[in-house]
Amino acid sequence: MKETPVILVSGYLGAGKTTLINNLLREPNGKRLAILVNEFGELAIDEDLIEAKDDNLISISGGCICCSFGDDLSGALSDLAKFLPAPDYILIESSGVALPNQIVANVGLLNKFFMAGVVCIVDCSNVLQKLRDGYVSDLIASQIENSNLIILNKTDACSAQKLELIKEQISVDLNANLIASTTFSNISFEILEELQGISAACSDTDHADDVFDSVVIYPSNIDDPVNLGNLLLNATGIERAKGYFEDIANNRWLIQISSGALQLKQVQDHFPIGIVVIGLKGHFDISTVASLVQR
Amino acid sequence: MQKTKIYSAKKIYTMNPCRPIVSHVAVKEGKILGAGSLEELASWGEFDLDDTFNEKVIMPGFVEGHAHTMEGTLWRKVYLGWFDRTDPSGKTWPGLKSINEIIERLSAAEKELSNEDLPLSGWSIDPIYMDNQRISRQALDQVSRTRPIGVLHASGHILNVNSKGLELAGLLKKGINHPGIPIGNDGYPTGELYGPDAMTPVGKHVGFDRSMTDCDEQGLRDYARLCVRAGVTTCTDLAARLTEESVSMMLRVTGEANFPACIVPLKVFFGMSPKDLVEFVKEIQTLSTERLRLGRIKAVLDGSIQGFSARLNWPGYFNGSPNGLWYTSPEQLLELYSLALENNLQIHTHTNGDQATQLAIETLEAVLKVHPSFDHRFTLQHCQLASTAQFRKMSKLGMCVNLFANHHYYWGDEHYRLTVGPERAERMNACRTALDANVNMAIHSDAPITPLAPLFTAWCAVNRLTVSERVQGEHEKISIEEAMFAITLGAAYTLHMDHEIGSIEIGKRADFAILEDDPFEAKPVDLKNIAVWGTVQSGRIFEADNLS
Ligand SMILES: [Zn+2]
Repeated sequence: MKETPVILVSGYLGAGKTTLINNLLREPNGKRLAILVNEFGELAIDEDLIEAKDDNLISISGGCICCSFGDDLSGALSDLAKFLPAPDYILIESSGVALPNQIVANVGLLNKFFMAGVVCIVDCSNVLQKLRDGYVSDLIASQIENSNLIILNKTDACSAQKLELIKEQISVDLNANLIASTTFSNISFEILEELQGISAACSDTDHADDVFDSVVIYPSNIDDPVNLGNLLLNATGIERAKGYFEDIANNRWLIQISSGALQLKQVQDHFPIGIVVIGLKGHFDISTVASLVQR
Repeated sequence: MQKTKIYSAKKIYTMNPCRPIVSHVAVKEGKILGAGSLEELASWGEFDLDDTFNEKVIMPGFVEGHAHTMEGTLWRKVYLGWFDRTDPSGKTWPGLKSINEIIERLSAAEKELSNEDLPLSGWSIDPIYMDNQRISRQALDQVSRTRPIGVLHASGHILNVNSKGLELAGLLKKGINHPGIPIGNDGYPTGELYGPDAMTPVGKHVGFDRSMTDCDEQGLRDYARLCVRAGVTTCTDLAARLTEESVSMMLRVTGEANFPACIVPLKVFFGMSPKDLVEFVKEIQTLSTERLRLGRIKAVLDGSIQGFSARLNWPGYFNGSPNGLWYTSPEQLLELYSLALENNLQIHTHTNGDQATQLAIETLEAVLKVHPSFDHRFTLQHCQLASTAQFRKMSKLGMCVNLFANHHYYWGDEHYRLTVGPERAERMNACRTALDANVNMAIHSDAPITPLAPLFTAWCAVNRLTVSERVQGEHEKISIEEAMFAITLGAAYTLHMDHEIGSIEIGKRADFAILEDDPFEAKPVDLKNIAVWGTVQSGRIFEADNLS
């Protein structure tokens, strides 16, 4: 039986988890998503996305659904397993005080699902403060440390200098190395899909981080898209890449590299900019790839 | 109009300092018309004299400020605890002292079950009294290989299941990697499940559904019978899910003519935004009746100390375990407290660790500056590790506390040597410190975790003995008088009900505990042995040995 990939969206209260979920529901990239949220609060799902609604299930345009799980996540997941046709992805929006590894362990108990990855959204406007807070610093650190992808959100709410500090704390002190930056939780679904790529590519090891290094780059004003594609393709140690960038004429491009092949095409939709680049640890030269953007 | 009834008694302790001990109490329309001499009470006019309690000692009906009516439902499962315990029908089940005895009682119960698919469930085992011997799934398989079996620990935090139970949950397999599911030498789960995350997926197959934190209809009736046996006339249900259905069930059952207690359920803050919760609770508050008091909220900040999930201040756990879990974030607590004070609702907050207690104190202090409230009586429940400074602060802020005196007896030894170490174990459930700091204090059983029995709870607070018969924290002992206050007016005050219950005083509800002996004259160590004849609730007589 095919197992449904589960992506956990973690992060502290107010970090932007709900906004991310709503953004993904707007641009699900042709995928049917099932979203599990802790509760239907006031701000759960944007009204205009809702097709029908009852006590704990919301139907969303494009075949997506959203359920609340309250205090019984495994029960809600078992219910979803009966749902036909099965969704392409299940996204769990955890409560702000949940520890990701607990949820990962719980999902691991259920047949029919596998954890494709954990995303942690970090609120740049207050994360440094929270990491010093006596009550929640250990909780926030644990959320960051136990994720596969860190999304630095609300980057417009802090200075470039502070952003550097945040990145340093997260990558050096908390040893989390896959970081994307955004405002308003603006991350394309394809970046999340890459998480599944990571998990699948190293299914026999515990930690993606043990095998892969990765970086997210944000190229814009690119004068020669094909040249950028080839530079990436030939970068040392690269395994795969996927995402969008903008050329000098403000055209959006989709770039995809896998199994040594480059795919490049212009797209109409305004997907958020950002390319996830993944390579083998020890071989992959992150700084060279990162420098591609600076040119 | 109903005629006045005057009860005579060997002694009536009123808990009203104006006339602390009287010989007679007059009851009319379910209320107390007066407490005094027969001569004084006769002056109210026509009456019937009732000498049923001539040889008994009467106290105000006991108020249990922290228990769960789910105990009523649990008694339909097999009791397997270490200590003797009395069920709602009055039968005392002897405590079981070995795994063999546990297997025997389960096997006997298994033979009684007709339907082959029915799960067999037991409750209240506690391996710490049996040198921490674990009960493997193979042991439970001796009872049955084909029927799912689940046995809940006394703490409520661990569940043991047999192979069939694991199989039904799809967990009888190798390769499981979960912190709450230990694996045996054969590569399969041992059958022990730690914490709600591991328990939930299996629990529903072995008779422990998640919704069982709410009692059912028969459970509520059975629970009320336990109240009568314990002398309890008002009892909280401290963390009910309180759905619309369960509220209407509770209204119906408590409304039955012979329902013998007043139940005070608190709606737990979980799975609902603070705003929705406050609205819902305000709505159901209007449905309150004389025997079902709605309109209070319980928040849960952290976990338990013995489960290492309580939030501790520095230096943390004695055995080096990492700090515990937050079940509610500081921001959510702030929002909930603000909305509650704004809407005149009372919150009881579960805090076990001293860091959780600190958060509750600081949050309330901040909120009170915005919403001044002179009689909020926000109550910290358990609050087991609070420091002297925290009690002083709570006093200044007008907070109340309900300390878990029973816990000290059952698990005090564990805390001393394993979880928090000697110094903090001695100050756990610091009744003396709370009273000296002028914090209004109640003490509780947290039934079904420990048995509902306020006189036993009082004994715990007065003697501070642990199971190993060590006095732990001599300084924190309180007097019998103080303990009697805690289980009557002290608890009533934490519920904003001290104007109607908690003392035998003109105008209050005619709620009495009818005792065979005098607790005030008893030796402290004998307090728990005082027998309860039954209760009078709203003027209605309920004899424990003669309940319908
Ligand atoms: Zn409790």
